[in-house]
Amino acid sequence: MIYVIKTLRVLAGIFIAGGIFFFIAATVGVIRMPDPYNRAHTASKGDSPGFLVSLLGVWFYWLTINPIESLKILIIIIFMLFANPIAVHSILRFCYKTKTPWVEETTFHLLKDQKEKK
Amino acid sequence: MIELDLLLKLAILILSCTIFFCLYRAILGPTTADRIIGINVVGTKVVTAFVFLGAIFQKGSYLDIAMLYAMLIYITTLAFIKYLEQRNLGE
Repeated sequence: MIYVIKTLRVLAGIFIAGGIFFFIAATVGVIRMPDPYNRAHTASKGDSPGFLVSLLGVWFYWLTINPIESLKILIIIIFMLFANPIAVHSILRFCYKTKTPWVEETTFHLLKDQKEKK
Repeated sequence: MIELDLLLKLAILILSCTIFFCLYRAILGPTTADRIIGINVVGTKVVTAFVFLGAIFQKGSYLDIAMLYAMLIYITTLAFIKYLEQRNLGE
């Protein structure tokens, strides 16, 4: 039994450190990207694995303390896994509808033909 | 056990440093969407920091606060976007 607890705590430490790495990568992208579209892409892609991995690590730690209370962490993970990409998608749709200019290096514009058909 | 406690405290310190760097984008962003992106990222980090605090003090009530804050950030972002697109919130 004590080996299970030790294994869970080592796994928790590794997962929390990985989540912090993803958060730092997301912050660097939000600061240094040149464009609202690129910034939103980095924010969504860096944040989702960040909270997923680090909250899974805290869940492993809570399993050794109080297994019933740890179900709340699973509820938070499932809610944010749906909520965060939807929020960033709505931000990008707002960006595109108000015609925010993008950088000149952008070559892909997949919605261009759709707009001409209308 | 003591080592994991120290790791959680260090993680909260790093998270609060990155929150300040994201607030730079939220305050001085050139466009409106940049500010909303900054607030969204800050909200996700605050939720994670609350869960870490609950693991340090070993109390389950911190998880309730984190759950409520996650829902609040989601509703805030969608309400801002809806108001800026349509210029009204109801009807």
